[in-house]
Amino acid sequence: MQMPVQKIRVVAGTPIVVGERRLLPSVLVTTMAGGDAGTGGLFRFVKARPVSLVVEEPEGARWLEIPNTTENILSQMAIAGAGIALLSVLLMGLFHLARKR
Amino acid sequence: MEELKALLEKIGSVGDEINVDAVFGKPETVGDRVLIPVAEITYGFGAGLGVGGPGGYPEEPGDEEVGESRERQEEHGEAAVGGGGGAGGRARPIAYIEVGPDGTKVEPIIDEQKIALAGILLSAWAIAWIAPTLMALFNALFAPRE
Repeated sequence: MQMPVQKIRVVAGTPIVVGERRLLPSVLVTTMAGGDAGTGGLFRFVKARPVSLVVEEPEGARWLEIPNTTENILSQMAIAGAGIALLSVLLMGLFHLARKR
Repeated sequence: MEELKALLEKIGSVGDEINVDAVFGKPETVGDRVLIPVAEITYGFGAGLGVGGPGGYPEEPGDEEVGESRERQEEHGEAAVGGGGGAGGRARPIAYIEVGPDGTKVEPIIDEQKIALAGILLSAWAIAWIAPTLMALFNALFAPRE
């Protein structure tokens, strides 16, 4: 059985033309694969997430980020949860020490 | 057996040929603006097969490999072969690109339901930690010393 292999690459999409503007998208592709057909089983997982866009306009080219706002908010909430737990453990330890003295 | 292995190898190579253009939807014209939906795409699958029965896997270490134990197959009969698999996919809108007379901009799409659920979970988590911390504080302040 092969160990799972993860590959991350940035792939450029087909340019989208809207009037005088040309949009060049780029996508982050994460692939995880494991197993082997010869040994009885395999799996594959693919995630494609758009990351940015280069806009070519008559005034010039500019780069636009495509934010994953929901995921960013959830990450901040997870960090806040971990912070609350850590602070509580520290405070409980301090209060325990203060009570012993 | 060989056909099944070939089928699994064929299925396994599907993920190499992902079409990144599927992430960007078809441009739609709304008034004097063009909207392009942007989604995150996730998919995965797994498959497996197994050989069992008297002529299947070797019974003891050192026995012959699967499919080669002809003597055992002749003695006990053919091995049984079975397999199965599953697949799933998801497309989640994360933003839309708006191309209008005032320029091009990216507007994020927020999954409010997911954030509300995470908020409830975070509140419960915070209460679960803050309550024992307050109890420890009151114990330190008011409880008789050891």
